[in-house]
Amino acid sequence: MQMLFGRRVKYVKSKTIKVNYLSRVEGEGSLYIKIKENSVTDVKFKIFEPPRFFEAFLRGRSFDEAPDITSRICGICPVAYQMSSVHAMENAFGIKINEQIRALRRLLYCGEWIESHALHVYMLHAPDFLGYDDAIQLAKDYPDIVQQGLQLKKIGNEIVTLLGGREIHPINVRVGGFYKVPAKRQLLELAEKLKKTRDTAFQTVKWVSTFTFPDFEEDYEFVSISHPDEYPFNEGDLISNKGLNISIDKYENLFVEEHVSHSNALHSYLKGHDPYLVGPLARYNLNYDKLSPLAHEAAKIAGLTKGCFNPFKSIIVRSIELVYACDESIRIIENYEMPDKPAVDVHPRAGIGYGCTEAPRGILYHRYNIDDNGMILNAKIVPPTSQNQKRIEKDLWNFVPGHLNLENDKLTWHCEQLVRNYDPCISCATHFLKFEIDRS
Amino acid sequence: MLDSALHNGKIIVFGVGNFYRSDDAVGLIVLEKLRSQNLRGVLLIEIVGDGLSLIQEWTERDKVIIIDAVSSGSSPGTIFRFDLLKQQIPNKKFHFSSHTFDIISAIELAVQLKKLPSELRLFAIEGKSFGFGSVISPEVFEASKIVAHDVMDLCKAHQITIKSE
Repeated sequence: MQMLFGRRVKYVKSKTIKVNYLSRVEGEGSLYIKIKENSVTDVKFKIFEPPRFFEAFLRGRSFDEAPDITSRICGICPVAYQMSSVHAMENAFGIKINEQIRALRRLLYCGEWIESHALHVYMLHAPDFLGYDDAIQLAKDYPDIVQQGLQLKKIGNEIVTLLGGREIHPINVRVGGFYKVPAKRQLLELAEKLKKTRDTAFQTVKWVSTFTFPDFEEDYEFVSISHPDEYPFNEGDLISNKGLNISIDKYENLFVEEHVSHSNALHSYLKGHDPYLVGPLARYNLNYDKLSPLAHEAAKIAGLTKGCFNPFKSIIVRSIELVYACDESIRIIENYEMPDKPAVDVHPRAGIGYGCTEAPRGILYHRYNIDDNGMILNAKIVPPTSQNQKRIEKDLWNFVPGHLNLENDKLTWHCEQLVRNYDPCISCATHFLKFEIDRS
Repeated sequence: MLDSALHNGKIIVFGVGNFYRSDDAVGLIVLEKLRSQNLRGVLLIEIVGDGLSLIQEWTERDKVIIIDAVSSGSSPGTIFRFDLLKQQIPNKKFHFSSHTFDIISAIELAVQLKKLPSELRLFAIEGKSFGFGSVISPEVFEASKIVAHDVMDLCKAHQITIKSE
C-alpha cells in the first residue's frame, strides 16, 4: 500500500479498464483507460457511430426544411434541434416573433426536458446508484418507481404531442412560429395534469437526494446560456463562471472543433481554456437565481447549494430541473392567450443566422449561411455531447487515481457511471459506448 | 396529432426507424403505405428510437404490430415474423437500434410491469445499409410491400375480431 493524493491505496503495477459497449447511453461508443504504476496514462472516450453528415445534407435545401431535417438527428431531443434551427433562420432574416409564440416555444421545450430528464433519471441513471444493471432489473424489485418515471415522461410526451403535432419528431414547428397553435382550453387540461406531475417531480428530488454519491469534485468551467429574466431555454448570451460572456454570433470565434483519432465525433474546446462542461450542472450553477421558488425549495431539501461541483449529483440537478419545467409549464399556460396568427410572415434573404438553445444535455449551436432564395449554402451544428467529450475524459483522468484501490468491476462501474453523469447522446455527437480499463 | 378516438380502435401499428439512415427507414415506409390505405380504426405511429414510447402508447387491451429494420447477417430484404407473446426474439442475433432503450428493452420492461398488450407482433426486415442517406435498397423496398400487405391483412382480421367482441 502507498499514499496517493492523501489516500492509502494498493500499489497497482498496471491495468486496463475496458468497456466495449457502454450501456445506458444514447448511441454507440466505448471507454478505454490505461493505468501504469498507479498513474493514469491514457483515457479515450471513443465514439464509433459514423458521422452523420447532416451538415452536408442540408446544403442546397430550403431554409424551411432545416427544422424537420435536423430534428431527425436525435430520437430524444428533436425539439432542441428544431428550436436552434428556427432561431438561427429567424436571426438570418431579421424576424421577431410575438410573445405568445415565444411562450409556446418555451412550453414545448419544457415538454422535451420533462421527457428527457425523466428517461435519464429513472431509466438510465438511477440503476447506477441502486446497484441494478438496468431499469428492467430495477422494475423487478421496484415496479412502482419505474411506473412513476414513465408517468413523468408521459406528461412531457403530452406537451410535445399537443404543441409539436406528435410526440416524436414534432412536425408543427416552423420558422416564424407554428403551423397551428392550441386553444387555451386545450392547455388548461394539461395544466391540471402538470400540477400532479410537479408533485411527483418534487418527490423525485427527495428520492434521488438519498442516494450515495462518490466523493469527487472538479474545478469546472460551466458554460450555458444566460437570460436576464429567465432560466435559459431559447434565448440569451453565452456565459461561464470563468469570464466568458459573448453573444451567440461570436461562438465560432472562441469555440473550436477538432478531430481526434480515437473518436468519430469532433471534440470542442474553448480557446485558451481547460475543457468546459455544458448541461444541467452548468445551467443550474450559472442560473440558480432564475429557478422558481418551488425549485429552490426542492434544492434546499436535497441539501444542494448554488455551487454544485460533484458531477454524480447531476441526477439531483436534473430532478430539480424537472420540478422547474413543470412549474414553468403551468406558469406559461396560465398566462397564455391564443395569438391571432400561428406564425409571423417570413421573407428569406441572404445572410448568416446563428441559434443556440439549451437542449436537455446542454447548449446546441446552429449556424446557417443562406442565399437570396432562402437556400442553405452552408450549415454548422455543434451538439452538447461533442462539447462535453473533453470534459468527460478529464473527469476520468482525475477520478481514477483516487479510486485505484477498487476492484476492476467496481472501478469500471464508477467510470461508466461517471460517463452517464453527462447523459451523453452519442447519436447526436456523431456523431457514441464500449469501455476498457488497462492495468497491464 | 394522435387521435384519441382512433386510440380506442385498439389496433396500433408502430413503424420504427429514421428516414435519413437508409434501410433503417423501412418501418416508416411500410407505415406510409398503410397510411395511404386509410385503414379505419387503426392508429399508425412513427417511432424514431425511443422504445419507451411504445409501452406508453398501448394498453393491455390493444392489438399491437411493430415494424422495424433488423441487422442479423441474413440476406437483405429477408422478412422475420414474430408473435412476441409466444416467441422470444433471438436478441444476440439481432441488432435493432443504437438507442439505449430500444424496442426490445421496452418490451422486456413491459413484461416486468405486466403491461403487455393483448396481441404483440413484430415484422422485422433485414436491411443492407444503415449509413447516412435517404435511399433505400431495392430488395428492402420490395420486402416493405410484402410486409405492408401482410399488416393490412392482419389489421382487417383484427377489425373483424374487434367488431364481433
